[in-house]
Amino acid sequence: MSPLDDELRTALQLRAAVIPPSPDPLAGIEQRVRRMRRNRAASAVAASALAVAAIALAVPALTPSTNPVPVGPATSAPPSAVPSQVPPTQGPETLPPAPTAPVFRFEAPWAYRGDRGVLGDGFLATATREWATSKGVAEEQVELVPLYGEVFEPSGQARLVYAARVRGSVDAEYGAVTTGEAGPELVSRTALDRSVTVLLVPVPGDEIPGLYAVAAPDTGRLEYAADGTSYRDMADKAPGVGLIGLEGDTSADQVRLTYADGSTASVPAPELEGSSEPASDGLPENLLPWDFRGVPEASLVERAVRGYAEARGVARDDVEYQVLFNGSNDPGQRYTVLQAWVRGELAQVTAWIETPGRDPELQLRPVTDPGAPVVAVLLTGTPGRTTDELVVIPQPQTGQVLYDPTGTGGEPRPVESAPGLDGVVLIDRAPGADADRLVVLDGDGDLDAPTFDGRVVDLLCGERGCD
Amino acid sequence: MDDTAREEFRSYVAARSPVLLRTAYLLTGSRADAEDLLQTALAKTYLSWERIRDREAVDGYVRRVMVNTQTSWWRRRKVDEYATDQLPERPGRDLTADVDLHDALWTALASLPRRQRSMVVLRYYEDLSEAETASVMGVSVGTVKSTTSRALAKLRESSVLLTGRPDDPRTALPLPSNHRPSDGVPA
Repeated sequence: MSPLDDELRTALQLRAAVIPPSPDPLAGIEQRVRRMRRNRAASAVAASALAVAAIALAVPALTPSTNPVPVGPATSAPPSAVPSQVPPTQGPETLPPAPTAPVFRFEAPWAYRGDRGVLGDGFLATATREWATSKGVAEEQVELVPLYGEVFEPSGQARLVYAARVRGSVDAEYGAVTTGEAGPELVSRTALDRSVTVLLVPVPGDEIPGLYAVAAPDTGRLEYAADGTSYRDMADKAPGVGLIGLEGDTSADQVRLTYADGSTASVPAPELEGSSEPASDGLPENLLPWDFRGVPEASLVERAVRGYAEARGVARDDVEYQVLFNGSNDPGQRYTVLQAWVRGELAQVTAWIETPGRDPELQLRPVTDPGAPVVAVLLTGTPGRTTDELVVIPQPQTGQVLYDPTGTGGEPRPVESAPGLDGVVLIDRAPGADADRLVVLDGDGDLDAPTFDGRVVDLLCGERGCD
Repeated sequence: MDDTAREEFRSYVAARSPVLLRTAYLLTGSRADAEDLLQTALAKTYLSWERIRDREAVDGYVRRVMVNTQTSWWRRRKVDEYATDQLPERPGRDLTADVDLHDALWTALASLPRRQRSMVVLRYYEDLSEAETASVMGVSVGTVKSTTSRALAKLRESSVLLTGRPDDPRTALPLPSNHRPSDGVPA
């Protein structure tokens, strides 16, 4: 054991030791449970509305809806949005009040800054058309707000930082658009949060990537800390606009804004793709970056990994994995769904199912599509049941799951996630069904843009293809 | 939930919440957020109580929910967080070299990515084994090893530690050379 190990252990113990217990933890928990139940009930009502909307949308000759039904994401709200039931306590630290930072709003957008030439020659219209096309909506439905632009010489290449939204929708983004050989290219697209005070836009560079920080024009100063603590000024491109080159791991980096009233706010820099998980980790490039859900079941997972190793004909020690979900049901079936891979190879979704009185079952999926929006596993032969159980594991923070058992284009019914399953959905499925359909909505509940809409059997294809 | 299960849950909260609150504090770095995080995790646990058949697995379940919830909150409120130039007050601060080192470690820990920080807390505060940490995080032991190793390397490389006591063999480590911002970016 190294000296650092010992010091770290001691530092954590000392730091934690000053935290007194909460006076009455149960009271707060019970209030929160009641609120979660109320939210679930409200969600169920919204889901019914969604089902009705889905019927309407199933009518032939669909027209794009400009007012999709918004439904909150499946995950719990952050603490800033959910008032704590815990009485204020004096901790070992006191945070200053949040400054009144100017938030970006489409209703009163920040002024355009930079080279006005970028707005001419039809570039803005072309960029708007490109963004509309990417969203599958008409150009007229899009509101694209130019915020900062510059033209690079001698190439004449233009770059524009923008915010855009589909009118009447919560679907909003910010990013950059550049002129390219094949027309405008949208880069660094980021969902626009309603409380955003600075738009952080990574852009590719000839040698190193750069980061634009675009804030309100009256922002006094923009600084960057590569280690999260040592700040230096960003290159001043225009009032409230800064630029800095990025190198290495940006996962701890921070951008700091100083406002006219002297208050400051710091926000984490966006992580460059792959910067926090270097290739030396040996993680497969197709790994789904989803959190583990369900109850930890180390021994079950270990048996699954051994089963996978045996199926692949490799030693157990050559196999790595990340668990997606562990579950069990009343008849005593226990199962784990994980991403497994032989070191140096790509990952594949694997399910291991243990049913009382039967041999364990290993289900191997094809090599995982890294953009997969949902994973599904079918539990069959469950003792005492006449139906199969479909376990649907959507990407975290996606929205409602809808199921159509007939697959005839009829009404898909909303399916609620059970408490504690973090969005994982269990569906009773008729044995041998082959036409049933699953729909997974995005976090905004946008019926026009489900993250998945297709046949269940396509999700259950085995390693060697679909039966 | 029947009365017996409810009473079991109450007993669990009474016995374990002080310990779990400390873990939540180390995960979040803030007392208020720690209370909120633990309360959320225990509320989710309450709703799942009857699904958790193995009562010995409850701690692992709560830890896992705390880690996932913390990650989820962090992703969604990245732009809402405000920092201060001033370091927080530290009650009972002792101006000795060791305390300085521990403070520096705490500051450096706050700069780690969430996943690395979670693993460090589970391994070095909760004293979970690599296998137990892997089980809570839902990853392989190999991933725990590599992630923890990278976290410790980052702590060693932390400028806070490096500038703290250059004469101390525990902190006098070579400065990394692969993480420097440059000034401008060519188009």
